[in-house]
Amino acid sequence: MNITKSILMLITAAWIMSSCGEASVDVKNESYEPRIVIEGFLIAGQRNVKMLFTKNFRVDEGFTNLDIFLDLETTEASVTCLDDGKVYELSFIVVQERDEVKEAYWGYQGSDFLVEPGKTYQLNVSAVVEGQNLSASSITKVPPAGFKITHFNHDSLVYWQKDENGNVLNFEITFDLSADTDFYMAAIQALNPTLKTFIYDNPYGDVEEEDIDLDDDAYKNAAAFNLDPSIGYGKLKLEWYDFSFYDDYRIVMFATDQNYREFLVSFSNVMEIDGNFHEAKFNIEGQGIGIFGSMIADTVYCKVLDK
Amino acid sequence: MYRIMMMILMTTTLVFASSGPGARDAATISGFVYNKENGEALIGANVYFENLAMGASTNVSGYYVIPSVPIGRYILVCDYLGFETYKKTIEIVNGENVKLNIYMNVSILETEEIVITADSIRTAERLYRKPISTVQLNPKQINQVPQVAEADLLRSLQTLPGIAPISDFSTALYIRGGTPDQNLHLLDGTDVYNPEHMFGLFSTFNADAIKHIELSKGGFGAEYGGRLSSVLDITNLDGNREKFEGRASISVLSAKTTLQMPIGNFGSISGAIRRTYFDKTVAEFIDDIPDYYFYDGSIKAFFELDKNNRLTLSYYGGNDYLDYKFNTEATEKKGFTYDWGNKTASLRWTRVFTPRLFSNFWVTYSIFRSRFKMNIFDMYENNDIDDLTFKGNLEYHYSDKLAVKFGFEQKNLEVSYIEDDPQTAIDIKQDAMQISGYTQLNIRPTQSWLIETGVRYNYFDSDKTFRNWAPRFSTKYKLNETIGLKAAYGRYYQYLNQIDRFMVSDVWSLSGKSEDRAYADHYLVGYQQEIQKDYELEVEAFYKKMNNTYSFNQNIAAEMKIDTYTPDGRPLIENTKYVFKRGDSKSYGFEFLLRKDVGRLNGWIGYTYAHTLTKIDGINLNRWFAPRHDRSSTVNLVTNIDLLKEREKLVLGMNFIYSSGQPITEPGSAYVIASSPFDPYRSASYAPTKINNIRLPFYARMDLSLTYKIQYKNWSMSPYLQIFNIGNRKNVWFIEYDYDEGKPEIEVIQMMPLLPTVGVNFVF
Repeated sequence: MNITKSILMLITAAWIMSSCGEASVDVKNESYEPRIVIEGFLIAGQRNVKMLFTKNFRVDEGFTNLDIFLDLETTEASVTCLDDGKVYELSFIVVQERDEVKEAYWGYQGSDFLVEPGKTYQLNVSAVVEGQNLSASSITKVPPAGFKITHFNHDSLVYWQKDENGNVLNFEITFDLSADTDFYMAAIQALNPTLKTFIYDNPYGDVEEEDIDLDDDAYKNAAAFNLDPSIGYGKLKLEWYDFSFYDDYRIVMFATDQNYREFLVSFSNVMEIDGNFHEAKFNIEGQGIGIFGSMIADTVYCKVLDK
Repeated sequence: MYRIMMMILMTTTLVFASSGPGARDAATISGFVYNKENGEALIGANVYFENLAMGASTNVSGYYVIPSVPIGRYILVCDYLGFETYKKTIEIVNGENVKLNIYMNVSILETEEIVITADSIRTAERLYRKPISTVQLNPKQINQVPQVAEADLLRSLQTLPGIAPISDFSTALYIRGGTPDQNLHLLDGTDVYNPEHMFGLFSTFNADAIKHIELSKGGFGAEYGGRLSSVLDITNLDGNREKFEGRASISVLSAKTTLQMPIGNFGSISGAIRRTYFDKTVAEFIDDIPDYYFYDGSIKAFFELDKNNRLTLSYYGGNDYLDYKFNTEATEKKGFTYDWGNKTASLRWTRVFTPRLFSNFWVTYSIFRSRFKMNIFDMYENNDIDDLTFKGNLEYHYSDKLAVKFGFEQKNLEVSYIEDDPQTAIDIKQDAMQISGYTQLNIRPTQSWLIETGVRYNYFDSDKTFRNWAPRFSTKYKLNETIGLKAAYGRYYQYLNQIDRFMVSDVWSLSGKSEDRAYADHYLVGYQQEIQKDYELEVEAFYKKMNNTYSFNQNIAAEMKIDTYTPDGRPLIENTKYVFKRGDSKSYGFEFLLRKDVGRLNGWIGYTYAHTLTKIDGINLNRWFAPRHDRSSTVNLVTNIDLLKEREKLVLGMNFIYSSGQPITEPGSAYVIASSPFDPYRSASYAPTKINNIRLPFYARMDLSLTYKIQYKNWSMSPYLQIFNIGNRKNVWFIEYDYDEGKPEIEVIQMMPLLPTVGVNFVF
């Protein structure tokens, strides 16, 4: 057989192969390993510490809230104040209202635990997950006192309101800084979001009613970071894309520790736009993922009005 | 190592200098080789004696030198693919050099194999003269590979072994495990930094304006430097020196034209321009299509000042422009504008000092600009590169056993990246001067052996100074009349890093205090064979180790520390300290290429077996992993068939590619968490633990094209139909993970579906 004929045969074979329709993807999640998921935030001035410890789950399987709870019998958790060595054992607390579970979390039953600015705390959690003894620990230093909101420029604004010169007006928070703290965040919460009060006439995207997720769209984060400590104060301008409803808003501004900063800017971006992945920064030792962070918070309220 | 290389250089120079030819009993034959039809110099033409084992190939200027030809009467032969073989009887008399310019006739029976091969230089000889790991394509071959919408140089190169795309949506070249930033793109001797249009879908090089392409996949000689992986050297048309000539094309993507004409009897000029037009057509009727277009154009003038001096002026300019509105229905219409493009200019002086001493001197200027402006809030980004280079390449042909190449390059680089948004200001300005010098000896101890050994010295001065010696070595051995062996080693340095950005133009940064220089070692061995006269078989194995390769730090926002601020208190980033993560890479494999350039059935079959591994500081627990562009096996098949006996009347083109699956990260697990203590809602997130730990399914695709040529006197019109992915195979690009009410939603994002396009080419 000469080479030309061989090539023609190859072409035919290639044709057949390339015509084979769809490449199927079978996600087996071979790299799955059980982990303790920590959602632990310490807020300065807080006595009633609330944390959640759950487990991770396979990416190819569904989950319910019950699936991910750790086995209460094998789970132990405590927070230690490293400044004075005092250990606060955490227990699982269920808050009920009219026979319905209103809230469930890991907290401290006593009244002698006060989260204090500038102090350092260590969280230790251990549990048996899928037959494996897992443990995780993390340390956070609460930002020092100093942070507070000093000025909020508007109580209310019409959506995309402009001044007499045509400049767009925005809400802006002015705040004092905490020492050695370079990350400040505003948690912007629409208080009564409905499909009717959603801002459809917005410049960010053509949204239909069925595209709206009230849970997701009602809450936004905005951050100011790496601010100049020598100025002594910071400003955070809230862009209009932070507001999706004509509504009343609660804005909790808080100064955070490094753990929280690294968690927040990395955990939701691990999947890159082109399908690549990278690891988040959790700052948790052992078999744990999630966040153990701390903050000092202050709150303001505002209203976004319809045109 | 460089000391050893220098000793070899000096020793061989002395040995061969002492055994040089006498002036009276030998002579030098030199000159240029031209296409008789249009006066274009032919690059890579083979000039040799029929009855004497001496010969040479023309260089990038179309110049050849055969030194030390003994007294006598010989038949000089010149051979170039697609041209009739040239023969002339030459008589060498005492000490009289011969200057002979050769004008080659285009073969009118190009696809008839017997005409091409009967008197031509053997295929084995052509293979032997080609540097190791080098691929040469001509514009015709680029045009014949079925493409998306229209012929594209970089997409054509992706059909060759060892050269891989990352996806259907990108023209970027991943060569032997290297990343696109490690490729040196030279257009008429000028560096081109971001050679992409349309977010990477098309390259900036207009195929109709190209005369010659040479891609070195590794082991390249000392005359090249500055990149770790490859050199793509593109030469545009000088222009027709005999008559006016034009080409025009209309495709679904763009309209373009290339015009050439003589300037008196001492020069020529060529120009090409291309513009997309769907902003003026489809977008006029469909609101959702953003206002987007690109254009590019080039102009080149060639002047033959006298028989020893030539001047070439070359300019290229291209730009993309996008104006996008997020919601065209809104009262406040906001979005962003983005425009970016390259401009290059070069002035080349070609000087024949003596028949044996040939030189090219360049002044080149290359700029890249991108301007991004978001008007939904106050944000803009400016990304600039400026490169002013002076360089010279000289070659001295001492004897038929020894030639010396030497040269210099002085590069002045300025890079700036400026971004300003309400939260942060970035103002990174870098400049550097690079001075390089090289020398390379081409030694032919016997007719069977050729040794090329050289060294390149780099002095790079930015905010830190680097001094590096880069030794190069290659050898060729003619085993018999049909088989040749090759081997090469080289050390390569790169002083630029790139932030590879998805669909947005890449950002370059210079080595300095923040990032070390990168370097690579190439080890290559090759086998080549002529089979049945017309078939070229090449098998090469390679090992490449790359050190200090830098990639973008995806967690930069988490890790960055600031110590400078704007007057209004925002963080000001003035260096690249946190921008990159350092890493190392290695790749190895072998490539097989069986190629036939002539005949009614022509094309190539390629097979690549390769592995690439990368280690990046702080990623994947510092373990090695395969990058996304790694594929263990790739098969390429490119064929063109003349369906009718009449030459190029009806041509069927086919491109088939099969490659084993690319690696991708499967997240280790998912978990539910709130983004803050004040976030009342919890959503699922992912925790990848092993990077690129699984493989996607294999990739396969077949493209077809059918071109019908209608000839009327000197005019021709060739309508064509191209079908990309004719099997409509749904190849996987990547996987997206999500959860909806506790149920996993795993979405497979696919690459391009079946895509038919039509167009027409005109020649007049």
